[in-house]
This record gives sequence, C-alpha cells and structure tokens, in this order.
Amino acid sequence: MRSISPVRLFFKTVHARAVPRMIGMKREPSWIFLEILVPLVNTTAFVYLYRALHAPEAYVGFVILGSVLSAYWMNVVWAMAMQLHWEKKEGMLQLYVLSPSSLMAILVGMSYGGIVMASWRAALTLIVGLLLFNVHFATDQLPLVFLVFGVTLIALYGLGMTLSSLFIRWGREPWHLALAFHEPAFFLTGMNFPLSALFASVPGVISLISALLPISFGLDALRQLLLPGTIVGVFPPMTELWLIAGLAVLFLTTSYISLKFMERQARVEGTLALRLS
Amino acid sequence: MTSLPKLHRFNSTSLEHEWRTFRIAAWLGWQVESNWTVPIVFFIYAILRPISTALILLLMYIVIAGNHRGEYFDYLYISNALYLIVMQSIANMSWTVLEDREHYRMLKYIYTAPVSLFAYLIGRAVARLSIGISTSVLLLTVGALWMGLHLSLLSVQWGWLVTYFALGIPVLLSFGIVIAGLALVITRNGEFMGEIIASMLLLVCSVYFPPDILPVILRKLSLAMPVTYWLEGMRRALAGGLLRYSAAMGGRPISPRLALYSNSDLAMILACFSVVGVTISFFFYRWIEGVAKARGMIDRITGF
Repeated sequence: MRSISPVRLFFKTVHARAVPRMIGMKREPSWIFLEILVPLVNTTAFVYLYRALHAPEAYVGFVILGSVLSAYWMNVVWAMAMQLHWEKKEGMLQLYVLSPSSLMAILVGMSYGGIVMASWRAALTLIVGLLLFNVHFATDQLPLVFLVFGVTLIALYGLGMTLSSLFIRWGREPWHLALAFHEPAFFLTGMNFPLSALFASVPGVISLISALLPISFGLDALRQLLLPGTIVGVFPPMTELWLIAGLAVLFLTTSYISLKFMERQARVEGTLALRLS
Repeated sequence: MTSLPKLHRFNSTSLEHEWRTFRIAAWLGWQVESNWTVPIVFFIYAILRPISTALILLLMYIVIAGNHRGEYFDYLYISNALYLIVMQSIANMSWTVLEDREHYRMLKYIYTAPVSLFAYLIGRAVARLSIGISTSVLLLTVGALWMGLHLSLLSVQWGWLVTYFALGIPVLLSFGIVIAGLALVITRNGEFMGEIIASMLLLVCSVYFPPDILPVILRKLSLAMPVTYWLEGMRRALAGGLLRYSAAMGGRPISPRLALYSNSDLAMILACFSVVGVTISFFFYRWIEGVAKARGMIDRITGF
C-alpha cells in the first residue's frame, strides 16, 4: 500500500468531504432557490414591519445584513451540528472513525463545503435584498469588513464543529435542539435589531450568552462598518474583531477536545454506532 | 358457529371508527411531539421559540417607538401569538406525512391498517394544534403581564372570540389537509413546503403589518387569504375593538382596508371560507390520495 504523509492525507480528506457539498448544489439547484426563497420572504416581512413602524431606511440594511449572516448560522446548525448525527444514522460515521483520516479533517471539510454552500445563499440574499429595497452600504472600509466577516466565519464554524461532537451523543433530541437554535439565536445575536438594544435591556447573563455567539459581535461590527453613523455599536469594530478572534481560538480548541473525546468513545467504549431514534 | 370477538371493531359504525382513529392519532401525535425528553425540558422547548420571536418583535418595536406601547404593539404581539396556531395547523401537517413516510417509515403500515388516513391526519394535526393554542395563550399571558401588552379579560369580546376561533380552525385545518395531500405526491423538497407556506403567510396575511402597506399584488393576495380575516377578527376580539394608531398619528385604524369590515362581515367571510375550504380539502385529499396510491408513492422513500 502506498504511504501518504499525514499533512497530505489531512488536506485530501478536507477536499473529499467538501466536494460532495459543492457538487450537491449543482446536482440539486432547486435547493439554492428554496434556501433563498424562505429567508428572503422572512426578510421582506421584517422590512415591511420596520416600514410600518416608520423606521429610518438604515434599518432595512440592518435586516438584510442579519439575513445574510443567518444563512451561515442555519448552515452551522443544520449542516455542521446535525451532520455527524445524520452520518451516524446513515451508517457512515463508523467508516469515518475506521478510516486512516482524521475526524478533524472531516469536520474542516464539512465547514469548507458548508461555507461555500451558505455563501451562495448569503450572496443571493444580499443581491436580491439590495435590489428590492434599494439599500446602500458604505464601501470605504471594505478590507476591514472582509476581515471581520472572515474571522466571524472561522469562529462560527468552530462553534459548529464543537456542536457536531455534542449532538452526536443524543438520539431524538438533536432535531429539536437544532430547531430551538433558530429564533433564540436570532434574538440573542440581534439579527433584526441593533445589538446595543439587546445589551441595554436584558440581564448580564443573557448578554454574556449573546457575546459567546460569534454572529453577535460580527454582525454588530459589520453594521457599524457598512452603515456608519446609523447605529451605536456595543464596542468599536476593532474591539469586536479581537473578541471574535478570541472566540475563534476558543471554539477551535473546544472542537478539538470534544472530537478527541468522541473518538475515544468510539474506539474504547464502542457506543458511537448506537442508533437511538 | 362461534363469534369472532377480535373482529368486533370492524362492525362498529363508520363514525365510531373514525373517532377511534382520530383519538389514537391525537394521542400518538402528542407522544411524538413530546416524549423525546422529560416534561420540563419539553415545556421550555415549546415556549423558547415563541418567546424569542416575541422578544425580537418587542425589541424591534422599542428601538423605533421607544418604551411607550401603542396599539400597534398590541397588533403586532397578538398577531404573532396567533400566528403560532396558523403555523402549527397549516405548515406542520405536511411534516406529519413526510415524517411518517421518510423518518419513521410507518405510512405504508397506516395505509394497510383498517383506519382512515384522513381521520389520522386530523388527529395528528390536533395534537400540534393543541400545543400551538396553549403556547399562544401562554404568550398572550406573558405579554399582558410583563411586556406591556394591553389585554384585559374584561375587555375581551368573548362571544366574537369564540365565533372567530370556531370559524377559523376548520379553515386552517383545511389548508393543512391540502398541503398534506401535496406532500404525499411531492418527491423533492417536500420538507421546504410547510416552511415556504408559513413564510408566505407571514408576509401576506397581515401578521406583522397591515395589508395596506403592501404593494398592490401582495395586497390583493392578502385580501384573498382567509387567514388575514381570521387574524383581524381575533385581534379585534382580544383587544376589545378595532386597533388604531395613536392620536398623534391621526388615530386612524392600523388597517383602514380591514376596518371597512364589521365583525359580522368578518364572521360571514370566515364562514364562507370554512364551508368552501372543508369541502375542497376533503375532495382534493381523496383525489390526491388516489393518485399517490395509483403511482405507488405511499411507501416511497425519497431520502429528502
């Protein structure tokens, strides 16, 4: 058998796990249409609500930015956190554990493919939203915008990788848990309103939970950068960038630890393949 | 010749038979919804999403209108609470079919059993509906106690509330039955169907805002939807009358278009929708069920 270096194996695994997600989009383009339609209709409803409240037009931009980042959140919940649980049900997880590639590489591949998948939805939501509602974003700090966006995604998918190792331990609960991650997360991250309004009106514990979700400060920073002068941020964008970077390190570490724990459970206790539904 | 006691259920009347199916399906529906965890966790799960949505709307309102809760807030909050019932009865019915066919893989056995699938689906829907209704009541209570919703038991128009509720539920279930029928024959993306319909209803059925501010095409669509009239009637009954903007904003009704209808008009419209909806859904379901059987779609696993 031909030997392969661990680094090369890692990247080949990443590529191999990411490709089905990208190919899947081409094979089933109706997914793209449907994944855009639902959030777009919901976004439109929130835009009209702000208009009914006679809100400044900048709030339309808030809602659209929230909708863009919600694409990644949904992808993290359904295509990351739930994914290993589904792989277990389909009988693939045992094969992953038995194969010589690392589970970390598989999760990184899932994240990479997931980011590509979600970016389609996010980009189309952004374009259609901008065209439909005539929103204008400031473009004078674009490099910082992309940096904040990129670091937010790393932290977010790190969180997804951690959750995927946790979700796998349950039987019927993950489905409900994933559903429960929708509206509460939208509330805690200020998806449709300024985050400072949340921090000003909820107890400190809830603010702390909110701060632990990477989208919160990511979205707040992006709003400050793309819609300057229309929002009072919780912190300046640079401070929020450092906080998100800290979350990225934290979640990548926790994902590594939880993955090792899961592998141990698989190899030593032999309970990973148990299907509880 | 000895009798066959085990077969006595087949001698029962059709109505008794349907009632038994309905009752057991409702119990099964409740078990499927709730027995995946302990009751306290299920309770938290059941209220977590609706409360979060209510808090989102509250904060959206506060950042624009400040801490004063005008009647628009009542409009928004009551609609959102009632929309839970709409979602549970309409959007989730298709999910029952998909879940039984794809996940539990029991649909074919239900078909081959001597039970009516129509009664079975209604039973499953009632389980979800009861969760939706109790969550709505809880949400309204929380709103009145802690979120500044103007809701008083003395001002509620109880007669109209019961009337609108009784007229609206058959319309909602009819919608659900039609969508469940479609789920039987749709092979791809069926899981999106309920979600898409729920989103469309959120946009066009005057849930968060009156139909008056929508573009003409969407406004016409809104006024053709029974849910629009149901929500308007229920809002009026719960708030004790027509909801209006503050005096500073002219004191006009929040929806001048819907204000043209009196309570009796709304009840009449809903009664017509109920009769038409129940009739159409019954015959549509029977037809589409036949199509699904003829094409061998009942036990098809699509993997979607």
